Amino acid sequence: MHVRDGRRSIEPLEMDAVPTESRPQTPANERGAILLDLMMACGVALIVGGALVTTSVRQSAHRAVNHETTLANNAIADVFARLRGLPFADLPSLHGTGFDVPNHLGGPGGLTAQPGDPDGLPGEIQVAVYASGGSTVLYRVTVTVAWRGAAGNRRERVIGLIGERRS
Amino acid sequence: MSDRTNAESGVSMLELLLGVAFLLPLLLGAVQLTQTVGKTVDSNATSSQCMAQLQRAFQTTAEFAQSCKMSTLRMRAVASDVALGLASAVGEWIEPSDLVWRPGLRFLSASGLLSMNARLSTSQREIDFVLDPGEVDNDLDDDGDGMVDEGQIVLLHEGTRVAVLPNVEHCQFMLEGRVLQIRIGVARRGGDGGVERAVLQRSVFLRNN
Repeated sequence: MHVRDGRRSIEPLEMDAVPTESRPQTPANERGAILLDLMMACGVALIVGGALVTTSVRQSAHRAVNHETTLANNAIADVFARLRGLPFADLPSLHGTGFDVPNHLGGPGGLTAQPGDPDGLPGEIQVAVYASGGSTVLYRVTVTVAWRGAAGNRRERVIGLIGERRS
Repeated sequence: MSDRTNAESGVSMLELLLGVAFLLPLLLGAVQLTQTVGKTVDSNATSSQCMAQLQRAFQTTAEFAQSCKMSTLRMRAVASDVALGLASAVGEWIEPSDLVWRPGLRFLSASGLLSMNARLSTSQREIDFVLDPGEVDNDLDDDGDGMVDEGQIVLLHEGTRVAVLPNVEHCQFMLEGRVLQIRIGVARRGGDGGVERAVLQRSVFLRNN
């Protein structure tokens, strides 16, 4: 700012008026810092990528477990409906019988039996007398599906009571 | 303006090139990984939706059929019925024989208005599989949508026909004594254009005479 003839005049600022010495200088020991940045970026990328893959794998496993459980429950419900349709006197003879679980397209082998399963079939029917009185018998029917799937060994079990149908 | 020392000259470009050379494969890998994860998620979603659709289709059909009175049960005749003289034409409502898959059920149900009283009947009910327009029953994808012989499950309830379940590729029924077997197949198109399929065959015990 200058004072000329009692009037003040403002001169434009000059951009290069700032002395070079006042600029921040990159210290010598910061050279190559970009490599450190890269490594950090790689680390972050690896963590994000790993998380993404883990999420995807977990989601697939979760879906597979749901899928397997649905197949097992469908097979159990089907077996119970068929048991109800059989002659009542035939029920005890089905104790220990195994059955297959259909896959999602209706074909055989939907689930794999657990290692050591005697008949190699994932399903099993167990029939036991629950109560009896006079000529009336009530059977306790347990239908189990035990399989080895995406989350290791799993089992679904439904227990029902079946009595003789009148009329 | 610039006041770089000799030691720093050109370092930036070299670093940039190194950085690009290092990060490019990483970025390509990340893009590929994201795409793979995206496809997996999409495939999982389609598969789950397909299974859910199938469960819903079966549940709706089975609950509707389960209260039927066996004495009133009729099924749509198939070619083998016509050949055996059980029906005069395919699609005719006939009294069903066992162990033959047929499309369509017609029956009266127990009304359920009075507890433990199965004598009161509803109006006539039907479960029918109706092909979509543009589809012919020939095991081919006639309308080019990826699904084969798809149609809808239509229920006749209280005199009204309601299409309840779309994208059904087949719906069949088979009687075995008092056990009614229901087989339903559904299809669903995924985001990648692929078609996911699922079939469920399950039995329903018919209690009412």
